[in-house]
Amino acid sequence: MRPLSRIAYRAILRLHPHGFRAEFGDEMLWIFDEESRHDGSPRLLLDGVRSIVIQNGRSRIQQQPETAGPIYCEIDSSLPSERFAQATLVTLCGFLSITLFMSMVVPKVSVSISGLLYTPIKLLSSIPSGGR
Amino acid sequence: MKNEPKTSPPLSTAAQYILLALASEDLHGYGIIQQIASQTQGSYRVGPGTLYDNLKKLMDQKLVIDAPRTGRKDRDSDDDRRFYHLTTSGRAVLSAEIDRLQSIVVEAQLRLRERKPRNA
Repeated sequence: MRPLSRIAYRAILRLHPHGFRAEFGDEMLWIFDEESRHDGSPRLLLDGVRSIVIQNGRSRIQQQPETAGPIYCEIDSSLPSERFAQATLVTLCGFLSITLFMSMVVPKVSVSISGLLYTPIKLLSSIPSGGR
Repeated sequence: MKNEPKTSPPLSTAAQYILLALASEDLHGYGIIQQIASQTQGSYRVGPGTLYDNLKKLMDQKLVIDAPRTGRKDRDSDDDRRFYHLTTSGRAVLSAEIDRLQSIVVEAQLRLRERKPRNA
């Protein structure tokens, strides 16, 4: 049970912000090892989870852009490629869902569309070959 | 500087105990936890997350600093672990906090003594 709880605690430590983990991570693990000998590890694991929430919340607050005046505010101007990819994926999924929904609700529309698609093919096939 | 402790907000319970543990000697993290457990007869135990969250805050406020190696006791001089030291301003903040708690205790005792039964 102890090695398993130690692995869990190491995972909890990894979820802490890098700066905090680099400064106190080893000491926290050492204290966990010492304390878990005498006391139950669930209390320590809960304490670790609580610490993740607090430290990550604090680091997010500290990462807010600093304003240099009432007008000027420095923002990150690099293109968020991940967000663009996510937005494209969401748009595509939304479009496909709407198309599928429309094809079920309005069957005539889909038939007429398929008719429109087939018409040029029929026209093309009806053209006699020029060689004969 | 003298007015600083009076204007500082009340400390959290964990921060009070950490400062109190460091008041008599420099301690490492686990030493602080043991000292707190001893002070409270085991009724209040601080986990490592709570300890280092509060220690970081206290260090940012310069109330606690890393203890210099030369100032350690002989038994701890070869210890590689990080020790923590209460600064002068940390001692002043702790003193102000104890005064604040003392005034609350005095006020509470006074009010409890003055309280009359409802149907008297």
